[in-house]
Amino acid sequence: MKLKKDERIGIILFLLPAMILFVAFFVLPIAFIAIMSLFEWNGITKGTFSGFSNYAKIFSDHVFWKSLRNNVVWAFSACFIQVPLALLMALILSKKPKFWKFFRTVYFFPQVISGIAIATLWSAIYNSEFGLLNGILKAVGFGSVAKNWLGNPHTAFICILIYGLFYIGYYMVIMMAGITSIDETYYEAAKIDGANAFQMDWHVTIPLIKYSISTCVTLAAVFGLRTFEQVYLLTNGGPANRTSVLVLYLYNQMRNNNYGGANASSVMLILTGAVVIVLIRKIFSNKED
Amino acid sequence: MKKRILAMMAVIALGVSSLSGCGNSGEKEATTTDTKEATTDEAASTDEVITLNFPCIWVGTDSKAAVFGKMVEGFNQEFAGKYQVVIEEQTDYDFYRDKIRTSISTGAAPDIFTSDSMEDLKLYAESGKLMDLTEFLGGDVASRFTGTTIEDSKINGANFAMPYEMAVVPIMFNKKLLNDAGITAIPTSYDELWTACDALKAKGVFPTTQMTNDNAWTSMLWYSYAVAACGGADAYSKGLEDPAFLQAAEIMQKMFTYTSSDAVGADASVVNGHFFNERAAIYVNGSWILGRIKTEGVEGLYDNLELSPGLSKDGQNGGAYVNAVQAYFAAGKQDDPKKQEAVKAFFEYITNQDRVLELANSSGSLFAIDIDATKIENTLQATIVAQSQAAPFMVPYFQASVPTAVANAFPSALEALVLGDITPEGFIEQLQAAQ
Repeated sequence: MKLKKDERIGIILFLLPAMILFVAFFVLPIAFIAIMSLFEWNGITKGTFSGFSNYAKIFSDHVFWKSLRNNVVWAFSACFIQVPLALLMALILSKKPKFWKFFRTVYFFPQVISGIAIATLWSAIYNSEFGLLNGILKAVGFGSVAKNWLGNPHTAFICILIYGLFYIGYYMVIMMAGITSIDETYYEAAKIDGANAFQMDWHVTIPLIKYSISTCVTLAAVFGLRTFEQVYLLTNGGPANRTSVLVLYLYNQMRNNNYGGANASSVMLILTGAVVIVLIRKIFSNKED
Repeated sequence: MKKRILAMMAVIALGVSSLSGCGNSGEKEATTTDTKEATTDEAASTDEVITLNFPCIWVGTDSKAAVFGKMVEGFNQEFAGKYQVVIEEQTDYDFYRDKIRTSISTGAAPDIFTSDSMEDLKLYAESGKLMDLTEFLGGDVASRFTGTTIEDSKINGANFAMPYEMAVVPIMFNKKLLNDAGITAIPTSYDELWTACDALKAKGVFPTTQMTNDNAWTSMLWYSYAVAACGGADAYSKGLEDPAFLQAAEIMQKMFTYTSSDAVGADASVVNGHFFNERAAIYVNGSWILGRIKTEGVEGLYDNLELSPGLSKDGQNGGAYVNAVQAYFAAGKQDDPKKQEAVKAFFEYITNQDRVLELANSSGSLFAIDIDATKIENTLQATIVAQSQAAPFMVPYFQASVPTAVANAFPSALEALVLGDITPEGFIEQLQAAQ
């Protein structure tokens, strides 16, 4: 449909304020980061142009690749474990079983508690000397399995991932909102056709909340890629950088007064995020077609 | 048509109002700036109160918090109506450093701040964003400082920072735990230390406390002592290529076999918790921790402490003391001469020997200000002063002696070393790579 000139002007005028803000606070800073990633810059004194040397340095740094790999694993675990768990909870709770409101609140609870408080709690759980986890293991006769969970190279990252999995409430609420908006007649028709509860969920609910699921998967991937708080608070990237993630890597570059390297890492993070989002949109749009 | 025109007008009105909103705020900002400038001008002419903002880390549970806070209050009272120092409380060292760095890089350097890194201060001074204190520190106040601390703090021949707190670091032994393990004499060499560690371990006590999280502070201090024992007084001047750093890494590798199972990943609270609760027997930290040991340690711990200087290695370099400036005061560059005077007045106030003595007595910390050692009430603190004065040589701690990136690489390199990912040679390579 072709728009008339005055309609086009109207649309442009409506979009203009938001566009100005978007350009000022998003596009320009990203452009600045991209440009400054080509400079040797300590953040304090004037930078000097160094071409792609910052990229060459981070690409030759094994910690960068370890961080990137951890981010990808984190994003995958969020998409393939967190979101399905949230979906399962949403499906169960949307049937309004007894105490469903209580459980909805419980699952959402981690989202509203300070990350620092939760991290402190988890470090207490994982502590090797006095932690709850080792305490339980010793009590049930598995004392030999007890270890320094966050200091052990084989368990540290898994421990942080497990901690992250408790943040399903946000996705659960999005999907519950999607389920609530489904017309009851679909279920009535399915019942008449003899569908059981599982079949109704599988063939009616899930396809109809596809967009909610797509949103959750996108959000989970994005949150996974920009993870910082949990890692910083629980292990600070240790032991020996095994739990490092890109934002922490970037942060450490800044702590070293290497803002050029930090900007190059930021560009890589943005590019990785863009690729992941495009892939997710592609996957869901293919299914739609 | 009328509707469209109305809609268009509404859109234009919305757009213009939002832009004019920006314009207004800009105008408002301009007005505020004008007012600020006017206020400064007015202040210059009518002696209005000059306010100095001071993001301060010595707050909360810090052992210096109470008396230093009182000192600032005292300054504000003494200069009431003229100067006022406003403390902005910061409780986390990492965030404090980040805040200062960010403030300076954005051209909004705090009026007063502290820093523990000469490397950072060099960078800030290079950027021209620090106040030059050379004239001030070369004046009457110079006589208040110990030894050559002012001269040593110069950056390209000028003082941009005033040395204040010193990190005088003893090795602390819990005599009770050592005696229980059959150790009657405090180790003076690494060989004796390993013997003591074996005995303590057999008793179910963690011989030493170690940490690798954050800046691996106490383990970094252990490493500093190991470097001193292996390399002597001038180990740092030779750089990381000096074999002392490699031998010290070997000592650290062994040291981690005599510590708690949570050492990898442990932070200062874990380390302190072990020592304060008598789960660990040997500990290294600056004199400032004595105040906390006294108040937070289990009953009798403070009285059971015995302090010692560095240990010898193969009969060499024993008795060294880790002693370096732990906190410098610096000020953001001031264009207003009145503000410069205010900064100088504050620095002069806090370097008053009597006030510093009170601060030293209350906190256990030691300072670059020359105080009468006989007036130090705390016997352990006095012991540290005596031992450090008798030490054959002093060494700075590792973190203060290497570039920031190397200091930041230390914790993860140490983790890799003690987990067996890398050899001591690999440890040195990791540190060198960070340079």
